[in-house]
Amino acid sequence: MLSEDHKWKEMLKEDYLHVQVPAEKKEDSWDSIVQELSNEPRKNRRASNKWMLVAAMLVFMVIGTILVQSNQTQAFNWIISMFETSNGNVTQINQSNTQESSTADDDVPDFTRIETESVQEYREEMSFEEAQEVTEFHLSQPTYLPKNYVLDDIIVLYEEDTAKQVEFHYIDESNNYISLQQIYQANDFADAKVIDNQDTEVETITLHGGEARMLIYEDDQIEMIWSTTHMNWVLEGTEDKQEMINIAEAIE
Amino acid sequence: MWKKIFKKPEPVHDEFRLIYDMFYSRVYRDAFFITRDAHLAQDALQETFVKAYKHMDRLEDKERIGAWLSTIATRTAIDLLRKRKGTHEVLSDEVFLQNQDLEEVSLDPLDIVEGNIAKETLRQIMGELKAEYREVLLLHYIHELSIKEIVLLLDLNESTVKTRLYRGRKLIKEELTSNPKRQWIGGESC
Repeated sequence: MLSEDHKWKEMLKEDYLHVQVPAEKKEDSWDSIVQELSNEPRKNRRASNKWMLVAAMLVFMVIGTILVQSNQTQAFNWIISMFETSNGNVTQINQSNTQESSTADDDVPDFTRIETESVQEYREEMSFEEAQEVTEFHLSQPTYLPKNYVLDDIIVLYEEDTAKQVEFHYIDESNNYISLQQIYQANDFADAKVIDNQDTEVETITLHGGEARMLIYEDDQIEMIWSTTHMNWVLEGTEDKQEMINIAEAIE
Repeated sequence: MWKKIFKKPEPVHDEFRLIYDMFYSRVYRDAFFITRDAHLAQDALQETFVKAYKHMDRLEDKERIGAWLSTIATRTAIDLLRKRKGTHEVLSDEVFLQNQDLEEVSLDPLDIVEGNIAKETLRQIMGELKAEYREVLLLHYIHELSIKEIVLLLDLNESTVKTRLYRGRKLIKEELTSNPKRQWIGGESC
């Protein structure tokens, strides 16, 4: 028996595939595309490529790398290395539970040595009790939530049949939304997030005696990330900074 | 190196025609999913392939060309919607007729076949959603792109993608369960 959630998603796919594609317009559209492309002033595009190259070389020569590092993060009695690397328009936030110091050279990965493997992932909605039962780590929720937020649903994310991540979604009457994610890290881990400096502010805040990063996006979304023993935490929402900190501090 | 930088990045005519043939249906369906309008979808399709041709050099993973084209199609369709109406919704004649049909169908007991009504109902709800929500629902639930892939392809932050997905899903579920006319696929059925 299909769940309601599954049912509407299946219907959505069927509906998508059911749309009559106008085959009779295919050639007309192709002619229009070719016509439009043949009208493009090619010279300008080539010139702009050259200017882009010159600009990129200048940027490369002028911009230095600012490295801000702090290894002292201690949250929930666990040492987590968390540091930022800023370079021009982007900031990279790194999290790791290894104690090796990082230098600017170390930050450039050797792409030839990176191996990727595909991991089967799926998500399941369940109650708190069910979620706690299928996870091998303690689930925590905030004892404080602003205004009229209530727990809306809990999603468990499986990787290769093991529950690795749990998301709590809270919602208020205006459909404002707060999400808390607990991401289990059994062994050594390293995680990185790249931020666009043009539309995102990054602040370092104190949380539970340790450090967390607060990302403030241009659309007023706030994302807080921090780590504890074998766990990465992500709190997201549109409440103001202090409220987000209050929620994070109330997680038990 | 210099040769590589200045080499012509665009595909040749035949290659591009092959891409057009392979992805014509997908791009049209993506654009229609966003616009809910056949004429706008066709316009968006043309613009999508023009943009794709011009920016083919930006495509890093050739195996992901379908996902890449889908995101160009949804972005282009949303832009067209905004230009035409100034908001996210366009009620063209075709959509209007489609909705009229839905009302008529709903009133005829002979036509109350749960599956068909449910699909029509869902279609109607999708038409009422913001185009930006439709976009992430399409990419995530139909094309099965991960949140991280959507973030990269749409150049949005992860939080925004998750919020749109969550709100889109939430609005669909709410509409299906709270509106008595729409309880065919929500409410108390299995």
